[in-house]
Amino acid sequence: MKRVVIPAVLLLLSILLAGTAFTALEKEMSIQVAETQLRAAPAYYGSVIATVGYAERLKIIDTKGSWVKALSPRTKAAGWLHISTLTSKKLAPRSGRKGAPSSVSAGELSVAEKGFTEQIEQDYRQKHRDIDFTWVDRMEKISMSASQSAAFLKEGQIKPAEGGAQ
Amino acid sequence: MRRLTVILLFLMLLLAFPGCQTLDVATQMGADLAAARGVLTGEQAASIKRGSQAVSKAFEEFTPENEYYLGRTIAANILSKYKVYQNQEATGYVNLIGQTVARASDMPETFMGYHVLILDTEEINAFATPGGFILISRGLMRCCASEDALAAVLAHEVGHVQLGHGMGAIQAGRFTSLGKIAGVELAKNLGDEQLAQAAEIFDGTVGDIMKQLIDRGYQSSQEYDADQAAVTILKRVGYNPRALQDLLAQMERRLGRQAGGFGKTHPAPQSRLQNLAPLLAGSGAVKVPGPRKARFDKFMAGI
Repeated sequence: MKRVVIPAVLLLLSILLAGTAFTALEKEMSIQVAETQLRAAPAYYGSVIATVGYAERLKIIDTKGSWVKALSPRTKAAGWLHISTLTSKKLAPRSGRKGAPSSVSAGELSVAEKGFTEQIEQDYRQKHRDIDFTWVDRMEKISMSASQSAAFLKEGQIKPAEGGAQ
Repeated sequence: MRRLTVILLFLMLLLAFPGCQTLDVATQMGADLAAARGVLTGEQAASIKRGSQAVSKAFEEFTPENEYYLGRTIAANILSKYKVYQNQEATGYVNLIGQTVARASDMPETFMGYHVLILDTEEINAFATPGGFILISRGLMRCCASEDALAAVLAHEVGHVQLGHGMGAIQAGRFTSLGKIAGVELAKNLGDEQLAQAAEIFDGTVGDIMKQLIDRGYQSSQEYDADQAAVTILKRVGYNPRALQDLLAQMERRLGRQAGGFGKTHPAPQSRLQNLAPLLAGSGAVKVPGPRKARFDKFMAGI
């Protein structure tokens, strides 16, 4: 009996898993950070294949841990990106910027989404002249690339624990 | 045969409810299934991690772009209270550590990334705003005996961002008020009157988070959670998480002399040490290789 049951369970499990994967395959998600990269491998040391921007819709191909392989129809490139950069929501392109075209309608946007944007910051700055944004603008420009991080770790003889960066 | 039926029923149930209920079960079901489900439940998982209802409300309502604009304004407010320590090398160093640990966190990317500045004050303190603006005082940096300890502070702050603690400080009433702004569903952008109303709510929201960061501090449980996130991050990167313990012990000694700042807004280091102990069981004493110690000493010279 056991001999029959185990393969049967495995077969069923694989069918069910294929079904789940298929659902995932069909799924589209939006980029929710200003800009990120599609990489050759599911890790930050993976070389960059393409750069994708806010609100762009991607087709999900595969997943591995916290990483998602997706296709960008705009660049026709597929690569890996971290799941935290994606949302299932449709997003409107950032106002006043050239963004990816989006089919999102006004009704689909939350009030907060429309409200807390660049426009509001300008308004805030007008009203609070004593609050200085100079250093915020400056600190935002300090960016260390993944390869700079890797070199820094190597120089400091810091070896990633099992699993490494997620 | 009964066993087979049970297994089948279990599997069907599992696939029928891809929501949070089955999350724990899925983790046990092996990497493949968990990965396949990752796309479907990633956001739910993040939302669960973020905990309280208020946080998930904020998470639902606000996009990372909204968090970024809130974070910018909050950082500008804090930077209007403190002077910036202007040393390009030291600032570059804390950014290398900060952005490296952030990359190993569960939220490696925010809308415009993580950035670190040093505050020119003796006060022992650090702040992290939504969106990933991290501010660390010279006073707190002086408590760090090694690069690993400095990484522990920054990983703890990344932990607050990752867990959405700042957003959790937003009063529920702000969402109700936002919902009441008339006519918004019709237009893509806000009209003048709506903008004025939204601006007022934005002001209040900034106030909510500032109050938490400057006056009240997070709940003790949130500090413990950020410590736990820091330990995970440090292990992933390859820093010794025991440095966090050393740092807390050092702070306990130094904080006694200081009123306000960190001591006012954080639980006593002693209680954090107690919560931390079980997480550090596998880690030995902090031993820093020569080149790492040399660069730490170099960049910390002026601090």
